[in-house]
Amino acid sequence: MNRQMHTVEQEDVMAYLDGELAPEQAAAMAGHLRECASCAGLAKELSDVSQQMLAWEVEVSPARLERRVTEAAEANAKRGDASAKQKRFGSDVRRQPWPWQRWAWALSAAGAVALALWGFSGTPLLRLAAPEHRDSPREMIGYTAPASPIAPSKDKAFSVAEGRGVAGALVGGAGSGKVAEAEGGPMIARTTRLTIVIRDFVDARRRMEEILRKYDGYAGELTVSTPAGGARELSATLRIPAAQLEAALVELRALGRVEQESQLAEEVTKQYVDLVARLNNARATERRLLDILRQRTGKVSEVLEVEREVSRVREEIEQMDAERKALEKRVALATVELKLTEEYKAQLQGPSASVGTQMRNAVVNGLRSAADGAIGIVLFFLGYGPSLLLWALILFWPARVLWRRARAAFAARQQSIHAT
Amino acid sequence: MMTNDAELMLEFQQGSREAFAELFARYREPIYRFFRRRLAVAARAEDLVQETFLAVLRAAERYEPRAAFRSFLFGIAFKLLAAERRRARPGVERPLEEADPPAEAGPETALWVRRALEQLGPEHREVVMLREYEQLSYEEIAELLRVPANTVRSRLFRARMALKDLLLAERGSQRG
Repeated sequence: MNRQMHTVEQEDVMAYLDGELAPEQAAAMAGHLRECASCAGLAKELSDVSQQMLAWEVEVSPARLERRVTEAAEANAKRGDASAKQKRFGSDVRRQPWPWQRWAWALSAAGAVALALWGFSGTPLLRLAAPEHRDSPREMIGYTAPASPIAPSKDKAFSVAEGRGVAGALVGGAGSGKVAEAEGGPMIARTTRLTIVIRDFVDARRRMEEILRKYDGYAGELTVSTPAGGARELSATLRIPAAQLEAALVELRALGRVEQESQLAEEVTKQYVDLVARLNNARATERRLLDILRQRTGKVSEVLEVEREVSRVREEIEQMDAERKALEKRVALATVELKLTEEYKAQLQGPSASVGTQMRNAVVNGLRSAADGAIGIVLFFLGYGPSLLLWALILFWPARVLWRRARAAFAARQQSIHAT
Repeated sequence: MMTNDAELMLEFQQGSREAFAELFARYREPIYRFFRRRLAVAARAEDLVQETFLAVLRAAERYEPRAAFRSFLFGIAFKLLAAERRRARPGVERPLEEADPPAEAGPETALWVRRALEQLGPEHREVVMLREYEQLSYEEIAELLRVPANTVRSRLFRARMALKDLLLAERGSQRG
């Protein structure tokens, strides 16, 4: 029994000597030691060991140590002042990430957002720039120099009368099939497109009509548009005798500032000649049919058929004749597609209206591109999300295993340090 | 002394240099001796003392007044010691061969104790040294070595029992 008690108590004896026992236990132990010889002996042995150990003395630390530590402390304090400033801003020294890492994150995030928006809204921006070009009125067909060698001049102009004369000559040459070159040169139908910016709308219109009267022209079509608070516009198709065209154009140009001018000279000689030839043939055919009708009186059905044919040919003749006349007219009378745009009002109203409109447009477009951008980002994630998710899942388990191993290794190392 | 230490530490945390100087004055020798007994080269002990107090400076924010300053301080010193041991694995744990003999103590008294200690296993040696020289409590030793207090107790007992015979043997051989 005693041995068992001693086994337990031996460590307690040591603890008692080390002052590690609670007061009651210590008192009990003290009492026990007075009575138990073996425990008292153990106590003596333990004290002896302690005393011997204390024989190993170590010298005092060298004097320079204080200086070294002080110097090191000062150096650290200097560095610490810098971080102390950060402390004053309320952030713990350890929480360094705020100053530069956060900024880096913020900047990169903002950059990514800006890039995405710009990339996805790139098209709207281009579209915004385009309208000006889309709005440009008409394509320039081509500016053929009016001084073309074969252009009809005053002398060689194909007047209506002359045209009729030629046509008559062709028709007169019945059945001969002779296609004569038009007297006085090729037949050219001229079209001029003219856009002029004018100051005084009413005055310009009046002057235009004067010019028309002067040169025996007339306005085939005329449209005036008066948008509210905007520039007035006049579009007219003028027909001016080809002979007078140049002179008339000079005066028309003087109405204001020529913004655009284009001329087209279409040579219709061949067209005309073909047409006339066909016309002659048709007429000849008609005559023969009529002869047939007069001379041969045959069956009723045959007669009816011939009459039907005659009326068909007549119809054709009428059609071709009308074409011929139109063609002659086109040649005889040049076409001027005139557009008069008021300038003054545009300047006055333009800036304020357009600035307001511009701003409104900008807001609308801005919102639209923002929406596009946001949608784009969502689409991006929807598109790449599944792949990212897949990779994350694939890599998740190995990553976790590695992480756990690393932590275990670290913990084990910590243990081994402190366990020595 | 504990509360005083804590108070000093608080003062130091608030930037008092005198507080730090006072702490240094109090623990300079214990820390120096801690390193001096465990390292072969005296100069390294000096360096590590400096490093320890510097580390205390830097870790000042982490110190909580609840924890005993002594534990805090020795914890730092112990970590530095472990790092030093890892850095120069062979030879450092042999305070005998390459050690500069302490100037004050007579070589006889010192040597047999040191020889005896050497023959203990590292774990046992450490507990007994921490107990006898650094005079840390069982709790403090347990915290430092990251082992339960009961382990400290049993280890300490076995170490001392072993030492009893070892010291006898070494002393005998010394005399003999």
